[in-house]
Amino acid sequence: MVFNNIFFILVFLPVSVAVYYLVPQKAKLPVLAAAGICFYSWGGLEQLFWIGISVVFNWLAGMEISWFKGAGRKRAAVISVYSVCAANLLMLGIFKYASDSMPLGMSFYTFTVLSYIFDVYRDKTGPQYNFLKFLVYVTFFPKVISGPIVRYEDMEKQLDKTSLSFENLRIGVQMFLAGLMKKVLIADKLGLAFAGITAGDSMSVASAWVGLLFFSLQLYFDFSGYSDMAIGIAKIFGFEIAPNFNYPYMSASVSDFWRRWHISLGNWFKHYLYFPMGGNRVPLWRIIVNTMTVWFATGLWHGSTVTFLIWGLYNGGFILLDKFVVGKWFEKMSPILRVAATLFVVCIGWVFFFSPTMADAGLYIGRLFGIGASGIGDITALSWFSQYIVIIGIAVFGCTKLAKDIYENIFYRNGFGINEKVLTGINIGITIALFILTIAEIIGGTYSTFMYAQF
Amino acid sequence: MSQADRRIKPGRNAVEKAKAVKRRRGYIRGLYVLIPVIAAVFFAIACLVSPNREFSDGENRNLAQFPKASGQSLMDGSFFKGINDYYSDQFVFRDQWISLKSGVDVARGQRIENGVIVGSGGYLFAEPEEPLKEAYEKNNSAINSFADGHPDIHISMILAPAAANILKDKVPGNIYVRDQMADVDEFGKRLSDKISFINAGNLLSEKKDEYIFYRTDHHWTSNGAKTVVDGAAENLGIKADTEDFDKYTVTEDFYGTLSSKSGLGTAKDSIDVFASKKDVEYYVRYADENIISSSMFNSEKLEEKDKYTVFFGGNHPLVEIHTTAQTGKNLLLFKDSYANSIVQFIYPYYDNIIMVDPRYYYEDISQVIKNNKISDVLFCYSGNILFTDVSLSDCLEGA
Repeated sequence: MVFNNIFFILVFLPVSVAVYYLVPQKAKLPVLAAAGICFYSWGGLEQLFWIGISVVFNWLAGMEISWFKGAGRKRAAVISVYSVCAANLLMLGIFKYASDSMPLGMSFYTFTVLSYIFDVYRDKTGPQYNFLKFLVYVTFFPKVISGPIVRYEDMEKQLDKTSLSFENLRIGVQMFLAGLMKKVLIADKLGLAFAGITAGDSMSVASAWVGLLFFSLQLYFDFSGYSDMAIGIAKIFGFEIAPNFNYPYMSASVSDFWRRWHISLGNWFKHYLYFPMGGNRVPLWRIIVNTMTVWFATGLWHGSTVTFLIWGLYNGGFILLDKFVVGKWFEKMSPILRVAATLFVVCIGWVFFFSPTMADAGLYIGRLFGIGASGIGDITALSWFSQYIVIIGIAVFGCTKLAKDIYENIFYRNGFGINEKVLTGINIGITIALFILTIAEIIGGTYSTFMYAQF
Repeated sequence: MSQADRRIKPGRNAVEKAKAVKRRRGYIRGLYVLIPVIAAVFFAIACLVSPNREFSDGENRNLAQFPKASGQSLMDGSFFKGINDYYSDQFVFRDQWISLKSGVDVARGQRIENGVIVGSGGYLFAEPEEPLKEAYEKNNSAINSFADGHPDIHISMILAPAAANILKDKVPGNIYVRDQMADVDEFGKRLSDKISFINAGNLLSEKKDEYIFYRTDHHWTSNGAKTVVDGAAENLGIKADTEDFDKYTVTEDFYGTLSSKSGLGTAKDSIDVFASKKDVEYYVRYADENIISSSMFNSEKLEEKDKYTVFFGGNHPLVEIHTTAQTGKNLLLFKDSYANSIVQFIYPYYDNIIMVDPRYYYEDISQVIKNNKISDVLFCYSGNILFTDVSLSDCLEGA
């Protein structure tokens, strides 16, 4: 099940929240585990089988590693970590690259589990003897589909004591609604536009850029919207998950961008791959190798095609360039130019991300710069751009921090000095209107006509 | 005072302000909680109370019902998907939600909604299709070889570009519209001289300010069909006098297929039917169901969503119209649904009309020609069908 499913929003989530709040403290974790299992089994009970085996396996493995370490058997612990890691990656590999029915969010699930194994090995934490708590950590349904990837270290204490409060509930609901609207009212609409503008056999330069604009905005609003929903739901259940995005399209360098985009994945690789390889405290050539290894792995994590690997290496290359070659000089440039240059590099990178093959990516990039394009501009570019101008405008604005500042200034700081009741009324009115639109959009999305017979 | 000092010792005013911000934020967010709670309760009750719908007229499909659980469906997840489908298909006020979505799309500037062009004056247009090379060329050469094989038959063709190519001033300027008018002209140029070709677009363009196309349906109106028959009479070899007809408005409450497809109810259409004042009787035989009827109009269809099917009750593989005209002429009409509203104006000029819709007709057409002593053939098509569908060339093969 996905968060923008109408059944999830209006039935599954409210029911599980209600039950969770009503049962006594002792029963809360079991309820959460049950909700997670229910959520997971929505894709079919088959999936539950593999996840079940994996959960038990990793739970036992964590205790084993800890026991080896406690008994001073370092070698055994190392072998154990490597083999458990290999087993998990093998399972991910089989599901992701060699099977046509992958359980939901398998990539995220695997990294969640590995985080636990590594944290136990590195003595960041003890093993989780309580199976229920372990189960809740790995199947915690708000984050199970597309993150954020919560490191075990960060979640361990929260499993012992969840912090239910009205304050958390309020913030959680607000974040969930905001994320839902980002996903449904912006990302999904732009997704249709992107599919439409790239559907033809030929493209003009302008169409290629408009298409890239659609995709870049769609990806951000889709992913960050989904993260907001996840963080919001977690908060409703009394769990704290760190933000996954921090206005990434306002970044002033490619390195900066990757500290602000999908933060939890970057952190994961930093803690469990980059630092163990020596991080920055090694000779230059090793730093280069380490960085490129991390970015190769990042590409691989996203998908098995060459385009993802190239995309990973492309980003790694620019990060190194920034770090060792142009960084000093780049920092002296005006902030606007730096943001623009970063956007340029990142967005060209998305071409590899959305193209199914390298040939397609090459063709698209060529078109962006006039090679193989059908002309500079055409009615197709104008048509899509002008029809979606309102959504583009809102989305671009939403990429800046300005939107949030203005919102807070009007409604929380009451910058215009409006009557308090009117102010609240306007805020709630707008939210209800947007919520109604969101429902209309979701229900409208299921509208499908079978027209052929009528011609 | 330095910045640090200010942070340590905020003024009384600043404290008050910070408190106010906190209070407002909490209050507004608190009300947010109510929104999904009220929605969940409301829709849960509505879902339980409202009766299940079987069929969606607008979408022309069955709506999902509550799924049956089985070992298989639980294992592969189709049961759970079924619950999702059930919930959204049976969602209370579903049609209104869909209209709201479409309406907002148009309001914020979208001009193509579910493949339907949203024009001015309540007009909706089907997108003029890009011709598929295969269909375009195959149909063209099939018609040519048919003409070669039947030198004794008078052959004509009426081909109509899409409404968007004719009512150009009602089409938004910022979207790409395929110039099907040129495609139709080109199609005609590639036909042999033996075929009397009419681009219906030229005839209709002259009357583009009249009600020649439905606003919410892709078909021409009876008035539009009449215009075409008037202009094409000479080519067809008939002496049509379309003024010699009585007009009856059979409905003023028609939302056509474009309305269904887009989810937009921009305007209501009316449908007129015509009857000849001449003393020509006829009856209609539907070969597929072997039903005989004394009228080509099926008034039962006026109760349904797609009221254009009032003409012949929709499309059939083969329909025969037998008249008392005694002109000695027998017409074989290859057609799509555009022709359904043409027949009311031409039946008085033929003894027999055999309407064949190649999309549903799979029998040997040469037998039809022989058995009915066909003297005239008319191909009556819209570009959107002829340029994208090869069934005509399949049907003509070997004829």
